[in-house]
Amino acid sequence: MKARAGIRLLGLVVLLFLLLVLRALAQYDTGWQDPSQDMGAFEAPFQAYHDGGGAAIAGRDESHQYWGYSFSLPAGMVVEGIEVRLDAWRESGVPLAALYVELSWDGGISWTSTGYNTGPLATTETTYILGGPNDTWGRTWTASELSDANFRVRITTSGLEPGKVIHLDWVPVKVYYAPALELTVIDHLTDSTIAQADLDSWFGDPEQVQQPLGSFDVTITARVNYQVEACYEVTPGPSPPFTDDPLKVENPRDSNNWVYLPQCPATIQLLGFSGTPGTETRTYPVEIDLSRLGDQKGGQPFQFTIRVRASQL
Amino acid sequence: MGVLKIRRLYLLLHLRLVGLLGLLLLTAVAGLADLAVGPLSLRLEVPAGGSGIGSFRVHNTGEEPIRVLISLWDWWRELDGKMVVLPPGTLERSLVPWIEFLSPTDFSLEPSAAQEVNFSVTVPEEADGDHWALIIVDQVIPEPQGFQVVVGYAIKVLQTDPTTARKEARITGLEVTSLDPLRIMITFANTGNAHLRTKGYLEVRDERGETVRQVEVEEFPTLPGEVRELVVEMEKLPPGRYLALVVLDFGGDYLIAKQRSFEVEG
Repeated sequence: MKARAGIRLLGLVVLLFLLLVLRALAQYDTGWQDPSQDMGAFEAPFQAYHDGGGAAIAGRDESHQYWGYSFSLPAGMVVEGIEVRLDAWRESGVPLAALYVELSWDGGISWTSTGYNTGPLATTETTYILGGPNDTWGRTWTASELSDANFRVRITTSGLEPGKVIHLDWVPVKVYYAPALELTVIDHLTDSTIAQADLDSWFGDPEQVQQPLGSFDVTITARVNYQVEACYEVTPGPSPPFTDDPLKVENPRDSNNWVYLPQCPATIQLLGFSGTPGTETRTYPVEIDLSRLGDQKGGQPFQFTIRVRASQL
Repeated sequence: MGVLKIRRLYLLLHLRLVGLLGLLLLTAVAGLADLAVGPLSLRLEVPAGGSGIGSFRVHNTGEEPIRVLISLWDWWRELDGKMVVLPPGTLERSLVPWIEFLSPTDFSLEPSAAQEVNFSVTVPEEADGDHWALIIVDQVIPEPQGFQVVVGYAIKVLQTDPTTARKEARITGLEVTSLDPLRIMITFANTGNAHLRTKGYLEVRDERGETVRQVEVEEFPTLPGEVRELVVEMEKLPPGRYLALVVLDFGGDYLIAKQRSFEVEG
């Protein structure tokens, strides 16, 4: 019976952990964006602006550039991946016919050197996706490098014989992005209030003076260096004031090390995070030190809010 | 006495049971109110007598409506690069008095909704050099109950003045703090009135002048007047006499360097 309950609890914990990780890895994308401008050797290149309705025709060793994708990325986002989609097919008799793709970030002056290609094309229209949600084609992209003035796709044919062509129906691009820093807190703290008049009985008893209040989990997904800080607020303001800050959190890497939280706006750094890009979760047990609450006789309940803040270093 | 003991036991049990229930119940529902903010660092080029506009985006990435409060603060960096939040107007180079929000600073966001927050920076004619401030974006609990945790973000706002900024810096210290592993501490001082981004390298040469260790000093930012201590760690050296040389490029008209000899005893 106990084992079954334990398994259920473990399952719940795993499920919630997965939920947390999935939430922490939130990623957004621009959707497939059509080009609006082009330059190069393909015939009827504008036919590749949209899905269907005709196709551009690419001859042997020809190259063509598409741009004007009009990406709209919210401010402060980090580009996590770029996908180029090619809806294309080859004529028969050229089994090795393929399309190579490079990207430019400065209006066609410089190009990526990752060498993505479709591999041998099929003889019927097929969708080929180059790159991926976590593939930045070997470089770090800024928002301005994705502007219409700077971002370009260059497509080059390969493996064609004279007189043979590749048909290109559509060349959209999708950009994946995410916030530079995502902070998630799961609160396991008690929702009971501390009513000072009720606590008189604890004063003077060293064993009872430190009361556990539960814990909170902090998950941070960072694409930049960062720090995480914390402080507390109490309402209503205690009168007379607390003799000292009463809330403390445990260092997740050292269970014997507890750190008192200062009252906001002062903050302390939450220990345990590396501060470097990646996803990390830390659990912070919280205790209240009743001896620091002072002589509060009013019986008024206090509400404590712990603020956890992230900033980019 | 007996009544007090029962009361104490009751309260203890109450707190612990609620804590346990909180663990089981709140796990399922808490954390659904999440907040994403970006960018977290804004650099605005505004000369003395000029003005500029900055903006950032607040996004409710959770599944519950949230209320957001935006406030202005000063900030400083400690020797190890960690940020310290200070009351607004504390610093001589505080940008706070020159920032005016053009959008609401107290608003609610439905799940998945986002709000663009705009602000202006108006720099007085007599201002000199660069200034900075911190915008804090906090989630607000309308009716707090007991104990709760909320998230927030701090956005650094750096104003740079291309006309009056002076990029000046010094390396004020170079100390070997450990031989195994070899640790060398570089003390860098931003002595001008401009924000700096500095990078460089540190190398260790043996008695013959050959470079036996070289480490890149990764780019780091400093505020005007800031002093930063950087610790560079390398593999330990065999016994002998050595020279440590650090060269830094802070984006000014010249590079800065410092050297120190040291000995590893056998």
